[in-house]
Amino acid sequence: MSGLTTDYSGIKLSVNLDESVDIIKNIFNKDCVLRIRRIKLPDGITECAVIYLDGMVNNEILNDSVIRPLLTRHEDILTGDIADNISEKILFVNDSKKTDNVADILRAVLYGDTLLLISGTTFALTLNTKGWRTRGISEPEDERILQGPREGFDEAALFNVAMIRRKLLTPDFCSEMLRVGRRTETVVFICYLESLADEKTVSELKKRIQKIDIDGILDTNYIAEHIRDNKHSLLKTTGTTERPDIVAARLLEGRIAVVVDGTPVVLTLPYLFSENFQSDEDYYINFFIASIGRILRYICFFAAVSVPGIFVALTTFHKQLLPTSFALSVAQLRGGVPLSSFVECILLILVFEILKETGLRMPQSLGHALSIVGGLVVGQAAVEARIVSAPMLIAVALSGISGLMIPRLKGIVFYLRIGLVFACAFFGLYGFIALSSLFVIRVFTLKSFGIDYTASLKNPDFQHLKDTFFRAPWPSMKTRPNFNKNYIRSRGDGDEI
Amino acid sequence: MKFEKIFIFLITLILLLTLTGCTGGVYRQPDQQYLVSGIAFKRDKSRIIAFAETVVVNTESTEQGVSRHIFSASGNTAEESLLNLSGKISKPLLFDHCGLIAVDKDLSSEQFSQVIDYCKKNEQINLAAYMISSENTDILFDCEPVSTLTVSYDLLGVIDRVEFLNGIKFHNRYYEVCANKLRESRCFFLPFVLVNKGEYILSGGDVYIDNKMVDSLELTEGALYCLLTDNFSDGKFEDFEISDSKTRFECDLREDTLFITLNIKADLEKGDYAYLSDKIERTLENLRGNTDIFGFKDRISRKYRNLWNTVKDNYNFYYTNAKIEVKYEF
Repeated sequence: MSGLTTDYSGIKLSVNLDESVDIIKNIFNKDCVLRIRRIKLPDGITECAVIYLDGMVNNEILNDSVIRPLLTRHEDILTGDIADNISEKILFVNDSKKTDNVADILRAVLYGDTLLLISGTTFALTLNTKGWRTRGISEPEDERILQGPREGFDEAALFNVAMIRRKLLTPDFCSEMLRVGRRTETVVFICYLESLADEKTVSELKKRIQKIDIDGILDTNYIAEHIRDNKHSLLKTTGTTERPDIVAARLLEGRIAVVVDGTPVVLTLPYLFSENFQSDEDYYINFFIASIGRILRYICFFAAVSVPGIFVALTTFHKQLLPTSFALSVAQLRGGVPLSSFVECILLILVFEILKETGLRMPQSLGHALSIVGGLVVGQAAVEARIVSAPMLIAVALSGISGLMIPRLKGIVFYLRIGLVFACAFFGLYGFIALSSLFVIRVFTLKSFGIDYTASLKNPDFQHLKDTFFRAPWPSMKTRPNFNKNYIRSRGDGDEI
Repeated sequence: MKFEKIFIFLITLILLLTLTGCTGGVYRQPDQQYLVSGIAFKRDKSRIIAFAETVVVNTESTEQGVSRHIFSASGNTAEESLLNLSGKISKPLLFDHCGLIAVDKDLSSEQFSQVIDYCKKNEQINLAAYMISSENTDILFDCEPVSTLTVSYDLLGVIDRVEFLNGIKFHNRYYEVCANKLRESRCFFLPFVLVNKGEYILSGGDVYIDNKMVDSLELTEGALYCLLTDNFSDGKFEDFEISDSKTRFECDLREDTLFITLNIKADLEKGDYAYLSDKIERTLENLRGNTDIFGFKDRISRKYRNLWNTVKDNYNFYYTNAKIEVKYEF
């Protein structure tokens, strides 16, 4: 349920310009950036008021395309509809809309348009003069790649949609605008390729977005948490990216993108489990190298969640599975450590998480120093002071470093890691198998917008596996993922529109 | 989707049920146990003395590292002696890495059986542990280990080396002895370790029948014994390099006499074949007594069921009068 917080349906503009200006003034009565410029047209009869929010418009466009023509152009505007005449004969702006709906007028002004009130008519013109400052195109910090496009989204949704469109020069590209948030009236674009995206999914997405009842949307995550299938699942069922090339690639697979104004993060859906292991760079480098990276990510996921748990299980329950020399080494290095393996493990995981989070939030220069202090000095000192044992420190560090290989799964990795340590400390490897099985069941039963979360693993079609555990060469990836049974699956000849 | 959920649930359930054996463990820190590297049992008339060679981790000082300690206690049974031993020390014993089980060659059949049963019952001894026979089990662990931390682990290497050089295949893994006992096979061949002036020597092998040591063989004799019992792997016997050996066992009953034929097939690189065959036959004659040291009984019962049914009630008579012939394909 989106809309302005006040109901403006009862308010009408007046033919008297002063009254109409007063209506707008009253609405923005405490907003100091509202600017009103009154203009008398060269015919000597008609008066106009140019109303805009300072900082939201491009002053150059406003001056050259709105105010200058209004002051200088002598055209017959009194014959017929005066608003239409001004729009058609005088103004140079590329987009103007005639409306008498105050709510629409307010939305336009708030979104950087200029309002032109004209005496003698209850209609106003909203003129496209959007021109707020943006951060500009830069490479996303979290999605840096060595090879491939380096542009990233900024906070302006319109420009972001334009960046996607620039990659997909086809009339098949659709972008639908919605406004979400009672107070923020945030502009949200739903982008997709009409011939590839599933109509039902698009309409379902729109329905879910329109149902969102919240006063403000400041980031895509606000929407992601509202529209996902399983609201309490730790696993992500919507993808996020800050790169237009990635969005374009996903749209080409029949997915849908949600661009939200005010954030560079774009949502893509449906989102599959295997996407957590795909890197943006995989598609821009040699497939052999990309495949190695992908396989490593799967291994690292296993290591990240299971190494501490397995280590606890092996050293406390199943010592017979350790080589004798290793068992002795563990026993020797644990000598004098007052904490049990379980407590020691949990403590180290928490310390690692604290160090990681601190490193992320700190300025980059301090972050490096923190890594050295945290990783080397504290670690070394803790081992020497026999607060923790070196093998456990190594196990947790290995798990932590492996977790960094799969940033998209960082939430679930942490919880699963802790859960497995608990299960292993209480039930040994039996607990490990039990909890792992529950996790696998959960993954296999999740859905992302009606699509099985593990669709790429469940489907026996070999084409699916070509972009799952490894990345096949482009010539052999002939079909798209099977999200929509009706669309064109072939990436080649059958894809002509 | 429902079917998938049920299917995955069932698979998990089956998996968990099959792994229920993994649930028996006890949470215990590795440094809070004495790691047992080997155990030994000595007969003391009707009692058994148990010795445990342990690796002790100094939890107070990492500089002092690990050291070796030997504990002992006696009891009426193997179980009781180990229980008494556990009661005398400050930390529980960890048998998971026990590499060696040394049994006194004088242990009675019942006592030997107790040792095997105790280890099996508790499922705590490593199944791959080596068993050895010795007449000095009481001083075995007093020797000074040479290349590893403990005598037990040292002996594992010695046994492997002797097997490799002599082509002997001992039946000395704990699981082999245990399995033989379960299937009522009576014959094992365990390495025999002699302790002399603080040094241990693997001097040969002891043949056990019905859980009782019946004969002690030197290494050369043991190699020929293995050749006759189809337990010889590639190795050296005196000057002969023997490889790919296979001994086929055939048996027939004619006129109340067992005719046993052993067809020995092997590749010899060099040497006097007649000398070797003469050695084999002499060994056969020397070892053959009134006891079925070659385990023919086991072979007949497994391979010739009908014949076995005929002779089993009076097997000793048949064995004593059996005609044994050795054929060679060198």
